[in-house]
Order: sequence, then C-alpha cells, then structure tokens
Amino acid sequence: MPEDALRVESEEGRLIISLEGPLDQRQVPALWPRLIEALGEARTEEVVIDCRGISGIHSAGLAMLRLADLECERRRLRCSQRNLPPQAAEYRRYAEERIKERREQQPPLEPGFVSHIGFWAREIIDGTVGAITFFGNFLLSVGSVLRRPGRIGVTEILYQMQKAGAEAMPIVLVLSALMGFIVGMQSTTSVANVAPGIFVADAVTMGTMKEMAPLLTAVILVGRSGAAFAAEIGTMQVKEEIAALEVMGFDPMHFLVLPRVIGLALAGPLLTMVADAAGIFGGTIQGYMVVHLLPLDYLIEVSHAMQARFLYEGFIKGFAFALTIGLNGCFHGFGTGTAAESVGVQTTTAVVTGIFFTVFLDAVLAGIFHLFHVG
Amino acid sequence: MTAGGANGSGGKILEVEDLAIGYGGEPLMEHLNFTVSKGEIFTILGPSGCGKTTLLRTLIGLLPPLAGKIRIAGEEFGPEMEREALDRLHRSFGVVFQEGALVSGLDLKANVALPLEEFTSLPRQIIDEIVRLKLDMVRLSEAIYQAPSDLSGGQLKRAGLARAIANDPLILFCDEPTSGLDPATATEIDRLLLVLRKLMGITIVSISHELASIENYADQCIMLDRHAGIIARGTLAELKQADDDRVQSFFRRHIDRRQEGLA
Ligand SMILES: Nc1ncnc2c1ncn2[C@@H]1O[C@H](COP(=O)(O)OP(=O)(O)OP(=O)(O)O)[C@@H](O)[C@H]1O
Ligand SMILES: [Mg+2]
Repeated sequence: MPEDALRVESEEGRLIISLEGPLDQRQVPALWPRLIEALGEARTEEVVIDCRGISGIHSAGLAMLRLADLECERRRLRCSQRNLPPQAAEYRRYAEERIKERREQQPPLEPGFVSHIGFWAREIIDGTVGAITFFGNFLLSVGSVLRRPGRIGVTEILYQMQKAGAEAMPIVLVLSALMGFIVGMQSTTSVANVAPGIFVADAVTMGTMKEMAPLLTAVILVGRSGAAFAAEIGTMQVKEEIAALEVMGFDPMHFLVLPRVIGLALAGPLLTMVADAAGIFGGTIQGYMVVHLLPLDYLIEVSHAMQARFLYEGFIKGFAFALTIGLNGCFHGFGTGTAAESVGVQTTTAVVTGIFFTVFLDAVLAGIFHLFHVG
Repeated sequence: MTAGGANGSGGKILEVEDLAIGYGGEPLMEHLNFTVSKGEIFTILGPSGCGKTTLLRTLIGLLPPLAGKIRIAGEEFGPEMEREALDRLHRSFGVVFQEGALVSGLDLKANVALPLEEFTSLPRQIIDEIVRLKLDMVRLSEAIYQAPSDLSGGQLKRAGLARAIANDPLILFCDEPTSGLDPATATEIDRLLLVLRKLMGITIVSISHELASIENYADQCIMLDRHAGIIARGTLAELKQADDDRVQSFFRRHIDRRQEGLA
C-alpha cells in the first residue's frame, strides 16, 4: 500500500482524513486499522473523510466508509464524508436504500446458548419418539405382509441378500480366518500350562462360534450394510424421493425398509456360519504352524468340542444382530433432514449406534443363553 | 477493484470461438461463436433442455469444451490452463447456479462470507458489513442465520446471487437468476444487476426466459437451438425483428384458444 493512501491533517479545528487510490479488498485490510487509529487519536470534535483521491469503489471500501461513520458515532465525533466520486456516491445511496428497508423490519435473532440446549433436548425427545414410532410401523408392516405374503417382493429381498450377504463373503472369510488364528495364538500359551496342546482346538471352536464369528460378522454388517442403508435412504430423503413415493401412495416402510431388513436378517446367520468355518480354518492353520498339530487331529478335536448349541446360538445372534443393524440403518436414513451434510451425520450415527446395539444385545443374549443352559 | 485489473482485448472480456459443448464427447451444440464486451449484460435465451446450462458450465470451466476456444480477458481459458491461473480467474467469477448451490452445512451468513474469508484478508467487521449489505441487496437479511435447507427455491437463488457478488466479481454468470421469483422481487433483482453493471462495471452473462427481465437489462442476446446452435443474435429489438419461426414463437407466447378448440 502506498504510504500516502491515508493522510491526516488538522485544519480549523477539524480533522481531515484523506483517502487515496482504489478502496478495494487489497487496500482495505491495511487502510482500516489506520483509519480506526486516526479516529481514535482525533482531538477535534469534527472529522471529515475526504474521498477526492479514491479511484472506483468496491464493496469493501463502501463497508469501510459505513463502519467509519459508526465508529465516529461511537466516539461522539461529528463525521462527514466529502468529495465521494459520483459512482461511489451512487453505490452508497443504493446501499443505504437497501439497508433502510432492512431497518424497517424486525431484526433476526442470532441463536444463543440457551436455544441450543433447547434444540438439543427436543432432538433427544423427538429421536426417542421417532424410534418407537418407526419400530411400531415396522411391526405393522411385517404384520400386514404376514397376512398377505403375496405382497412382499421376493426378488428385492434376494437382491438385498446378495448385496449384504454374498458380496460381504470375501471380507468375512478373510477377517474370520485371521481372528481364528489370533484366538489360537492367545489360547496356545494359556492352554499349554494346564492341558495338552490339542485343547487349543477346543478354545478356538468355542471362542469362534460363541462370540467371535457373530460379533465380527455384525461389525462388518454395520460398516457395509447399516451405513449403506442410512446413506441410501438418507439421500432419497434429501432429494425428496421418499416424499414423492409417499404422495404416489407407496408405503416407504413396505417399499424400502422391509426388503432391506429382511434381506439382511436372513443374510446375518448365513454369514455367521461362514465366519464359523473360516475361524476354525484359521485356527487349524495356527495349530499346524505354531503347535505342530496335524490338521486332521485338530479337526477331530474340533468335532469333539463342538456342540449343537454353539451353532444355534450363533445363528440366533447372527439373526438378531442383523435385524437390529438393518432397522437401525434404515431408521437413521429416515431421520435425515433436508441438507446434504445430514446424510453424512446420519450415516455416522447409524454405524456408531449399530455397533453399540450389537454389543449391548450380545450381553443381553449371553445372559439369556446362560439362563437356559447353565454352563 | 477486481474489475479494474484486467483489460480485455479491445474491450472484449469473453470471446468464444468455434466452441463445441456436450457431455462425454457427445456434442450437444457445435460451432458457437460470440463475444461479450466489458460491462455488457449478455443474455442467453433458448428452450428448456437446449443446452444453456451446459454452455454456461463450459464457459466457467466446469465442463471441458469438446472443441474450440474460450478467451477470458484475453487469456485462453480451459482445463489445460495452469492451476494457479485457473484459480485466479475462477476467483474473479461470480456464478449463480440454477438451484442456488449453497454449502448446506453453513448458514446464509457464512455462505456469503465464504469467498471473502478465503480470498481476501479483510477484517472480520468489514466482512460482516459486506455480507449484510449483499444480503440487503437481494432482500434476504431476515434469513441471515438460516440454513440453506430451510429456504425456499426463490430464496436459495437470491442467496446464491448474494454469494456470487460478495467479492465484487469481474464477470457474473447467472443461470436463470429470476425464474421462480414474484414479479416485484424479480424486478428488484433486475435492478440489482443493472446497478452492479453500472456502478462496478461488472460484466454479466445471464440465462433467462423472462421477457420482462430481458427487456429490463439485456444489451445483447443470443438465442440457442438444440440442433442449430445460435439461431439469432443482437439486441432484443433486433431479435424481435428476426424472421426465424423459432425466434418468433418465443416472443409470441400465447395460444389461440379458438383455433385449438379449447375455448
Ligand atoms: N450431466 C449430464 N450428462 C449428460 N447429458 C446431460 C447432462 N446434463 C444435461 N444433459 C443433457 O443436455 C441437454 C441440455 O441440458 P441443459 O441443462 O444444458 O439444458 P437447459 O437449456 O439449461 O435447460 P433448462 O432451461 O430446462 O434449464 C439436455 O438434453 C440434457 O438431457
Ligand atoms: Mg438449465
């Protein structure tokens, strides 16, 4: 900025501030603090801002001149501006006209801290009521389908099973085999102290089938399908597709939620079984590599350790987890507002709450299974 | 002033030469030629779906041209430009998209302040003052703390305009700035465009269907056709004289009810 862009002189008891050059967004950041400083040091009652030297007016310059007026008012200085070039003067007149219109209206309130608490509380209540309503509607929809099974789209369910189930197989296989290997490693040391090495197979079988396989599958389902449901339905919500379907007479619950949730609930137990097999396979590899157990011996031990209830407990868990994850994902999808970012927020929430519900449900089911078979 | 920095070649700020536009290599229109002078309000007319938005997207560098040249302020403009020069040009553009295109995570105030905060070092107070001023200009100051998702279609469009003019652009591109607005607000926006041009020398390239708006502000117009490209050009008066049927039917927008058997 040229040094003489702002000059201050006193004349007949008035402070004259002369501005030079273009008042654009490159000049204003440097000019503004100097202008404020000059006003602060004013020892006179009257200030004149002389704009003779300015070339062209920019919104930043206009804003600066307006703020300078306010600053003078605050400091009880009489302020006037002179020699504003005609274009700038006209722009200023136009702006004043618009601002006057605003002044005639009620000014909007900036939302404060208390209203944020209010919004937050209302959100929690609305969310809880919404979840209950959603679950109720889902049950009604299931009921209506059970009465007239012809109305459910089998192809759509199969499609969802393929997307949520078959396409998740590779990742379930790899992760479960690794998990079986890890459980084997962890058990090797603890078993070695109290029993022959072959009992590692018992630990792996029980650990995998009762806990690891259902949980791991559920986590994968949350990340793949729960998130996808929330994002798909959320995007449809944002683009008002769901509103359009509704006014055409479609029931979104029947049309969007049922196929997804049923497809996922059926895929869940199947994937859990796949994870069981892969986990035991991973354990077998670990047994062979680390404890030098022959795979055949290992599998024979597995067959001794395995109980039918491991299988159906896993099955029940797989079903319950998948059902919860599917409902939770869809629910958060419907909870999306009208803004694009809300899809992201809802998807994140769907994943976090999905994992929470899975683990919570796991604890509840562990208690129930314990009551039924002591041991 | 941003507009002061660049002098187009011979007062021409935007030159389009033998341009072909379209998506995925498939041309929608070819051999487009026109120029826009500095400080002019240039209007693009044409039926729905003919490719006006596509042309605008190509002009502002969102779509690569399939052939031909675009020069802005004498500089060749296109995807092969250096990133820095392209960014610099983009900062001197204001663009009003057909649907407003505001950032949905920010309220109106933050949306309009965005270009000022990113591209200038103006102090907070001045930015706030500019934001209020621009929102006053589009008559939206009552919605200053609202999220874009809570605005109506017409409000979104005006908010988009406020954001586009926040940093006093060199060229303002508007996709149907007044469609969906009531006549009084539309007239106010027309007046605003004239003010921007007159007081800040902003060049405006605007798509419009509103005959009233075009009459209010257009200096030069072109009319597009899906197949033939530019079918008419000139001032509005010149366009009205054109003897092309497609041009005439644009200005003669009424049906003879008796003839159609609807009366
Ligand atoms: N992303 C896209 N990919 C492929 N084709 C597209 C795309 N967007 C638009 N089109 C096609 O290009 C043509 C022109 O579209 P464009 O949006 O430019 O029309 P327009 O003249 O702006 O219409 P309107 O007045 O209704 O806004 C249309 O036929 C449309 O089908
Ligand atoms: Mg368009």
